[in-house]
Amino acid sequence: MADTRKIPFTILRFNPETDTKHRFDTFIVDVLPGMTVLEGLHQIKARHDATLAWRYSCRMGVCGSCGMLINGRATLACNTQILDVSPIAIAIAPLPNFPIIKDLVPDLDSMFQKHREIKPWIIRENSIEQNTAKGEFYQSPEQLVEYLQFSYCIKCGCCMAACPTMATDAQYLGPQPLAQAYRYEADSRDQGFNARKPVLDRDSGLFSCHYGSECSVVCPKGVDPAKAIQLMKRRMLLDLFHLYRKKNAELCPDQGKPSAQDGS
Amino acid sequence: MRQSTGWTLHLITGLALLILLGTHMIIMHLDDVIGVGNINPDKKPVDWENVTARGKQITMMFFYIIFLGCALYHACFGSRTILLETDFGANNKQLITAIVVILGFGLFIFGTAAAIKFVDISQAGMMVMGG
Repeated sequence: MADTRKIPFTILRFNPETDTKHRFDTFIVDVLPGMTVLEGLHQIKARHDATLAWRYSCRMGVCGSCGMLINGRATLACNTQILDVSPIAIAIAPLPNFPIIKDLVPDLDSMFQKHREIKPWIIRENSIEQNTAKGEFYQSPEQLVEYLQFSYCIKCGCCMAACPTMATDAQYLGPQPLAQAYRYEADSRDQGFNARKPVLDRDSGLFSCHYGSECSVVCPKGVDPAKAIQLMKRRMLLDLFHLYRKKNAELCPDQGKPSAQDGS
Repeated sequence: MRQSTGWTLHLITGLALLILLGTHMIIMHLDDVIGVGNINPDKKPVDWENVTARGKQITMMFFYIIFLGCALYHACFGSRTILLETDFGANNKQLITAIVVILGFGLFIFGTAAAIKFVDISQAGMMVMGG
């Protein structure tokens, strides 16, 4: 086919069960315009090496499974077109800052563990009211916008892989959990600030962020974790000086009748 | 100490250092440009006569102690933050914190004692010289 290019894919290979150190394998891939890196990997597996391992599921940038380092940038293989990255050569490695399970499969367990630590769910002071609500907690469109972009996180781990602080401090919470902490803190329905504070305010917590902002640069969903972290810092500092006030959404027994307008 | 408290103090001492270091620069090194704070105008600010004259002032003693405290806190907290991000620091948090706290307090006590003693020595020297 006229538009086909032959592009070498250099892939970092490592199997902890059999290998003592990693190696690089190079495969020539027939690339058509519009072809994604994920499709290139499928071609390698079908034509060259069936043992190549990577993780994927949805193929459309929704599940966050196929995060990997492509020509030095942490991103999703499924929504990255090969020719957009380079028409000459592609280098692929697993996401940094995570242990490797095999080849391009990182062990994201540490991220999910930290994510659980920040209690990523709506917390109300009155749990009975929350669990047996007789109405709805009204939220205005303006209140929704406060946290909406941060709720787009698909937990792919790209931000964690790009974070320079994560690279030096494995215990650092990282941009994904911290951005999700802010996502719930900015939610007018949430009252969990005091429940999350001990986790955020520990060593290697919120204030270990050096504002490198690489997390925001690489996020495939356009989430801005660096912004979330800075906004969370501001709330923590206001709380330190007892200046932090949050007006929460109240239970609205009659549907459609707003009872709270401002969640800031 | 909560990380937010430590971090906020780090910012506050950083800002304080700008002012204190600025004052130090004005007094010690910009005498030809600004010319304030020089007690013996016929001598340079770093000459012994001016150093002792400043040192015996109680206000300067407090200035030095506050300057020292801010600089030490800022340096020690910053160093601790950097060290905790190393593999060694991450595995030895308490040791790093203990070393930094002991070093910081030790230097602060030593520097404070020197600043207080300098006032005494200066006053004693002035007395010997009949001042």
